[in-house]
Amino acid sequence: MMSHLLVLVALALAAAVALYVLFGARHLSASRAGRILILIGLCLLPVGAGALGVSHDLGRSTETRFCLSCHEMRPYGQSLLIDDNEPVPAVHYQKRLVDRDTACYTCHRDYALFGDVSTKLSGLRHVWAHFAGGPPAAIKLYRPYPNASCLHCHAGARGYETSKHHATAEVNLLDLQAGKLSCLAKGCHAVTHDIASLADADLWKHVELPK
Amino acid sequence: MSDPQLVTPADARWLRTAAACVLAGLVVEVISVVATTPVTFLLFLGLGLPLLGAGGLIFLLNLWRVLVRRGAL
Repeated sequence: MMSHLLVLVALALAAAVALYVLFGARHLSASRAGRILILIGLCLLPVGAGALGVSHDLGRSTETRFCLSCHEMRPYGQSLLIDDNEPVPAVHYQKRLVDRDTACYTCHRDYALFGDVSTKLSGLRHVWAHFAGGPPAAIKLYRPYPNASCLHCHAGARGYETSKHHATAEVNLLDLQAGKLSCLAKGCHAVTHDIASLADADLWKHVELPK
Repeated sequence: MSDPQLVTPADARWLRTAAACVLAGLVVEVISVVATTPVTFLLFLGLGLPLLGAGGLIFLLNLWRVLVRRGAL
C-alpha cells in the first residue's frame, strides 16, 4: 500500500514537471536552471517513471485479485472456496498453505530459471486468447501441470517424504521427482479446480475473494 | 545566464511535443497503477511506455539539433 502511494506521488511529481515544461518551455529554456529542469523532466524522469511503472505492475500482476479481474477466472477463484478436503487448490487456499494474496501465481508460476519471464509470456497468451475470439469453452493448461511446482514447496517436507502413499509399488519419490508420475494423477491428487461441480458445491463463507 | 538565441520557437514546439508525449504516457501509467488489471497493464506496456520513450527521444533529438546548430558537435 505504501509503495503504491509512493509510486503515485512520484508519478504526480513527474507529471507536474512535464506540465511545467509543456506550458513554459520557451521561458524555461532561457536559463541554465530551466534547461536542467527540462532535461530532468523530459529525459530522466520518464525513464524512472517507466521503470517504476513496470516494476509496480509486474508486482501487482502476481496478485490473486489481478488474475480474478478477468471474468473467465472467477469460477476458478470461487473453486478455492469449495468446502471440501479433496480439491487441492481449495485446501491450499483455505488452510493458508499458500499466501492468499498471491495464490494463483504461487501455484501456476514457473519456478525454473527465467521462470518469471515464461510465466508472464503465458499471461500474455491468456490475454491474447481473451481478445482473439474469446477463451475456449473448457479452459485447460497449456501443458501438463509440472510436479516441480508442487515439489518447490513439498520436497523435503516431512509430510511429503514420509507419506505411506508416496512409498508404494506404484508410487515412489524418485518417480515423482523425475515427473514420471504426476502428482495430479488419477487416484492421487486428481481433484483440482472442480468447476463442473461448482454450482452444487458448498462454499466456505469465511473469506471473500478479492474483487 | 540567459541565452535567448539558444532555443528557437521551433525548438520550443519540439519541447512542448516531447512534454505532451511524456505527460500522456504518465497519464496512462497512473491509470495502470491505480487499477492494475491485465488490460491496463498491457495498455501501459503498449501505449504508456512508448509515449514516455517517444517524449524522451524527441527531447534528445531536439537537443542534438540545437548542439549541431551551435557547432558544439
